[in-house]
Amino acid sequence: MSKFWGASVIEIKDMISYKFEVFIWGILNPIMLGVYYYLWHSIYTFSGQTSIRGFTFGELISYYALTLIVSVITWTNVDQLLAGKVRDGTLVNNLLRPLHVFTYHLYKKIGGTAFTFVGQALPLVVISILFINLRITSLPNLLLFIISVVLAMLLTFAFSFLVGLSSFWLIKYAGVRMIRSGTVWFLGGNIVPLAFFPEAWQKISNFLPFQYMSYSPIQIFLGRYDLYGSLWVIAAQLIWLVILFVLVFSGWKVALKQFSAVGQ
Amino acid sequence: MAIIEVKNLKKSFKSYKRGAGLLEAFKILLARKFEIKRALRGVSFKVEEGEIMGMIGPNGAGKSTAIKAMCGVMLQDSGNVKCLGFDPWKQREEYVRNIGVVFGPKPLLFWDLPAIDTFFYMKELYDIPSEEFGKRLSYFTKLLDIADVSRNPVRNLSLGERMKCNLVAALLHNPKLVFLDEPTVGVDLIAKDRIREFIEKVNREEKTTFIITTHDMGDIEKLCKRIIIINHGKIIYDGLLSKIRGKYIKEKHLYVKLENPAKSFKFKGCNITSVSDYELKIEVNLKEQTVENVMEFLLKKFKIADITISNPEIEEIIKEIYRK
Repeated sequence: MSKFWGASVIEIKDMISYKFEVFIWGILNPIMLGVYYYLWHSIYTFSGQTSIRGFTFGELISYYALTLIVSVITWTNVDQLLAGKVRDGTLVNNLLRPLHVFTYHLYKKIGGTAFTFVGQALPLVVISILFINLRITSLPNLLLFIISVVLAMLLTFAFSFLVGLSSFWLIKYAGVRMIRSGTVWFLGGNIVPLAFFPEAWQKISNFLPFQYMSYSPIQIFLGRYDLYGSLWVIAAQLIWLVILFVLVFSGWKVALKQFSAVGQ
Repeated sequence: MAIIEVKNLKKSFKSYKRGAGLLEAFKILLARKFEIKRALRGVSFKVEEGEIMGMIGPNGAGKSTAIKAMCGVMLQDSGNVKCLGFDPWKQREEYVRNIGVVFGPKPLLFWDLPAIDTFFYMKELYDIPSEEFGKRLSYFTKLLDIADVSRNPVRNLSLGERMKCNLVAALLHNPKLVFLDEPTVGVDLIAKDRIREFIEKVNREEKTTFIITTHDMGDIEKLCKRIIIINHGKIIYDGLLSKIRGKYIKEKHLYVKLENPAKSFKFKGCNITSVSDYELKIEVNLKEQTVENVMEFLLKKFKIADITISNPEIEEIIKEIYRK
């Protein structure tokens, strides 16, 4: 517990020393929301439809507001951090500590999220409630949503770390990072809801981890699943979490041998 | 009892080769040439508890590779490493609780935060009891005189200040075994003295074992009784520093002041390095000649005012050993 406390406090202190960076994102996210609002407002107006693929305009804007809120919580650059440490060899410092590198970064991520939640997510929540009429559908839905978002955060984190392990072989990682974050962004439903994708793809998507990183929790919030459907989402998230954790910890051992096989 | 036992340690690295120029850079797209660099070719030694052992050797000799294997951050190709009863690679997370490491100027501290934040992080990480932590921190802070600098962000510190803070961070959890890879590189003379005194004091008071690699013979002479010299991945000397003179000194230097003008002469085993008005500098090769014979010869030949006999500097001896 004290290790968790130590590492997360360090991250919060780090963020406080760069409060401007956090503040910038706090401004950018509401602007993004405004862009979505006007874009879809004109699409709905000109198409003359009241509902597109089962989304009314109000629902769709709520959906986008939620993707922004959820992405504040799930956002991670752990793969980039790891790649940097592999490249300049400072990973050695982490290896000399009695705390697994994955766990260390996870603790820091949680500390950092506590900070960005207050600095970025809460303002978005307030703006969404005031200006775009974001409302909870039911209290159980809200509770299930919160659980599901926490799991989504862990999923995104584990997936990013797993992809980041490739940096032990690639050394230069920027390209893979673009693909990693793009995949999570697109297949997680951050650009358009997965309901807008072809039917066949939606079926495939059920067997991939990405929709559980953003899309499914939001669907729970919007009340699009019954209780059984929501619990199934959480079960699927847990299954993926176990799979990714096994891959991360076994992949780590292989990657570490690679690290020490090259002169640093 | 030996707290480090290294047996027949071997490690090779693959390193990719390419020439200069754009064409050469394209060539590696077709065929990557690599060569195997044998960093350690069978190294064995033991370290006893409470020792300060110096490891020296030219760049690329294999010192750092040996340290990495002992710290558990590198898997050896073959051979055995046992430190404090642990297998460093296999039991790393447990093992590293008991050691402290400083890898030269590589930052150990959180870059954007004051060092004091790192110290408090160490407290949480190693579960150091508050009372002990406070005592050690104020003691170390005073010894190294870093009360002031430990409150500035690390990125604003000078190399020497950062090094001192590194040392404190590595020793707060009272490790039994400490590895220091070039602890005085880039550090000014006064700070160097402080760091050396600090190491000596911690070693004496807490029986902490230190393994130090360095290129500064001052560190070695001040701190280490025993040294290991590594070159080309092999140990070429393992023993007391004081004995290295006896083993490797093949000559003595004579500095002679005369009452009458000096002139050059020939004598078996003597090499006259300089002749000025009333002075002579002579190197005596101990294989061919004894110092006594030379003295006797000189006394007969010149009117001598003063004579000084000296050994070559330890640095000269080490240089000689590296060249082999």
